Amino acid sequence: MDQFFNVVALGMLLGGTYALVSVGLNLIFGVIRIVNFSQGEFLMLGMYGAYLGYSTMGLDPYAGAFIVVPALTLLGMVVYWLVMRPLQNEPMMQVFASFGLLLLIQNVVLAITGGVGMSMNTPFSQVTLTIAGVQFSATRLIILLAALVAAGGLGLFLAKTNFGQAIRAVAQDRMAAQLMGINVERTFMWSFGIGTGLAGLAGVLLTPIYTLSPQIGGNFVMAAFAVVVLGGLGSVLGALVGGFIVGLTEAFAGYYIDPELKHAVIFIVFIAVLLIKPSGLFGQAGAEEVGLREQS
Amino acid sequence: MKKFNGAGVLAVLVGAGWITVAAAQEGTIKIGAITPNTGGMAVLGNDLANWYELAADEINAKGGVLGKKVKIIRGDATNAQEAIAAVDKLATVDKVDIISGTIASFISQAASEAAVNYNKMYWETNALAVELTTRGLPNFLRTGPSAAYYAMQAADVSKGKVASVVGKPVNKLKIWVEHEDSNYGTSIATEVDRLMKAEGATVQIAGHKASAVDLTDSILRAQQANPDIFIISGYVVDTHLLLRTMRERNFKPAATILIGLGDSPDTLKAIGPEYLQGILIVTFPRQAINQKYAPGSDAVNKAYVDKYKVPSIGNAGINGYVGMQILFKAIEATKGDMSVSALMKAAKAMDMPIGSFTTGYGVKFDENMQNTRGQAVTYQWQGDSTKVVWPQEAALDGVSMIKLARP
Amino acid sequence: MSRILDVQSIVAGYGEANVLTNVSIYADKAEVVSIVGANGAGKTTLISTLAGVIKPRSGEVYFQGERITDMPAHERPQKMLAMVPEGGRLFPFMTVLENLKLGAFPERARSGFNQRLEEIFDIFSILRERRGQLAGHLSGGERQMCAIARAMMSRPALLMLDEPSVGLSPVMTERVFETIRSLATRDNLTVLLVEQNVGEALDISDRGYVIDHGSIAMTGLSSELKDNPQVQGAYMGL
Repeated sequence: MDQFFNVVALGMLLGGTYALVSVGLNLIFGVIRIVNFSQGEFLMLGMYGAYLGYSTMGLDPYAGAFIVVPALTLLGMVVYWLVMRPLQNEPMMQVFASFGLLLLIQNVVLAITGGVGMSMNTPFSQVTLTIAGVQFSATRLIILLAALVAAGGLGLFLAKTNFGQAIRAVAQDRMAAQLMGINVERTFMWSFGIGTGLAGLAGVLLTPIYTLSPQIGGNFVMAAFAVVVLGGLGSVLGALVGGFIVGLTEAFAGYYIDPELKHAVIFIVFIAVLLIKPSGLFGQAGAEEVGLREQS
Repeated sequence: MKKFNGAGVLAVLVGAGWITVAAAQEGTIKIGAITPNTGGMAVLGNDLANWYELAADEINAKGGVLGKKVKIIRGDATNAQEAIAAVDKLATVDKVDIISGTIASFISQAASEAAVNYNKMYWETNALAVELTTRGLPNFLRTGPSAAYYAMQAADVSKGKVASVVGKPVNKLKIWVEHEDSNYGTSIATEVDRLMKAEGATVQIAGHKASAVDLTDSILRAQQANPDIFIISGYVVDTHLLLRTMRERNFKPAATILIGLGDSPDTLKAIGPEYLQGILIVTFPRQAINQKYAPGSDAVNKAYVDKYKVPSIGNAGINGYVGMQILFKAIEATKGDMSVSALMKAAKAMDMPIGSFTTGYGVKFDENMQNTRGQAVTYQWQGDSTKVVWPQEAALDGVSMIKLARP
Repeated sequence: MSRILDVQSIVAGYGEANVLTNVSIYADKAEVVSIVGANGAGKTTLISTLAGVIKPRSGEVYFQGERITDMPAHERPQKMLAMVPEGGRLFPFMTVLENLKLGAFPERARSGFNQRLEEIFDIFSILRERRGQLAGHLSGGERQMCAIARAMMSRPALLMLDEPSVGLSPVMTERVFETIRSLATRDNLTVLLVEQNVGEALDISDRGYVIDHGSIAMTGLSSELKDNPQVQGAYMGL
């Protein structure tokens, strides 16, 4: 029974990881309607950025976040402006372009690193907290907190600030948004940048846990795609709740059934949710919705 | 104005290896080396090709094989399609006599089948999948160990040494094998299972995805089972994640054995020396090994550094170096006949005892043309480095297995 | 009388085809101008060109004396030009209040927001009641009212409306048109009204243009156009 709570804790921590990875992906989809296949590669760049700061300047990855996240936000904006914007009237081409970015970024990192696995071993990454017999890894706990803060902060930003409202307006009706005086292209550029910056944040915070490889982004992003579809495409709250559902399902299925079968169980849950609610759990209702309306 | 110097240009081109001069073919044995020289396995691939060249240099310095110089011609392949293209090029453009390789089994499989079309010997030194030798391919043999030999070594060290260090008879041992769920990890796990169950031990095997984001569930399950020996057969990323999770969850089996990897500086960096103390690694023999068991391995490791200015990174390169040396012996035995039938016949006839080569290998091929005397060995993390601890005779004088249970 | 809008020989269209072949119109201060015509005559293309959503292929657009032919759509509200698109195009997952806030998005319109909001609520009293409701849940008439109110939040000099009567009941249509007329009178607003509902549009406008196959077929005072037998026959079913 004591393991039960350990498994719950594990699922929540893992859910935090998935939620953090999914939030940026969902923002980009919700606003620009691009399924960004290169999201995992921005996460991977975040990891290598944190590693670079750590290995060259001895920078703790949590401090490195203050450099890496803005850098990846900026990179995302540049990528949007130079790659995605010229293709904005061809949505399919944007999807292909994001896939091309995936290959490009992976191979550039591969060429630079030569494919050697890299790891860091910070003292903090070995800390675990035990509360009433339930274990929490400190690094995972920080990721969970970051996911809550990122999703909450993004939600507030979208609801309360002028620019956030402009982003939501663009997501819901880009032509009407234009008529309100909102610069749609600039909004897209920022949304893409915020999305990739969030991927970078996830990458930085995950660095102390994993051994880096140029392909590692894919490990997270496959789950993130399940999370965003489950939670509802375009919904910030959906990314959070979807993350916890996938995390808990994975932990319970892995511990009580079989680690080899946990992905199959997630898939069953995934199909079950979509059968009951084809738009995902938070796919349509509520004002926190970033938008799901067909654009014309 | 300068006159165009045709001969000079030609000489430069020949020197750069862009033009193969037909006349040189007479006195040269050309060996194509198929390895991944780009992509994620590039480090290992280049390392293996480097070792092939070192073997060629050494034999050339002694006058070559049957008086002919040996030349290694590199062919890059990172997947099956590229492997086939590389074989085509090596066979038709470079006109190699024999093809060798490979780091990855799926590349080996495609390349060796393509080599059949050109009636070329495929002299595998490194790829691990057991199935490669059981396909019945007429031109294929393997000089190094297969994955099964990893399993054999893991079982051997468990019953020969770990049991006594743990303080239990072999038939009372509880063993958990945690493997990544592709063919590679699974085949090793099932083989360990078979071998140790035959000894009466209790064995449980469990799989996980190498790409899994979290493996705490696997560790919690293993922890619950409380095994004496915890064996991990995975790739780098998941093995490191398992070790970190073990550390985090305070999981301390009496013995931990990693298969095929975990002895690199990167593992040291990822996990840190404290937790690694006493962890065992089953892998190719290469360094910190008794010179009586593996004659000349220290010298050849030094020769590698002299030639390439960096220490060898891969743990499998020296295994390829020995594979080349075995090939040279086979060519001597055929009196220079490079046909598949002659080489296979010569290889089959070879019978060299364990300890004949710098990795401690001997040569005796079984009916599937798998070398039965290419053994894996067991290393142990002691301090900041790994040292051979099993088989006993391979360990350096004064080195023995340290206490396994970690603080 | 000062000229608010001056459109000179506009050619515009989509893809290969030109929808507008040669259109020149104008509107003066506090004038209500209607543009009427059949479906597909080019009314929406014209108003979209004026809003900057479509770029004209040739011709010029002047707004309050300034050339705005190439100005991007999102810069035009700052210049006091507002448009209510067909169907209103409210942001469905936002509340009425949030929609109105977005109406005041241009820098120029942000100061005095609260005062403006009160003025708008006085005109559109139903919206005061519905302020917290999601725009997607409003009825058709409320939606159109809200869209007009949203456009008015930016304190425009020129309000353009694309088919505001589409989908509305005759009673609702009448109320919408009354509101438009009273806004023009109250604020000295210039209104450009694109309508298929020719009779009603001519009733509330000062001047009118009849657009046919991408060019202006007729123009004159609304009262004259309304009495013109050709217009009556072709567009008013008389």
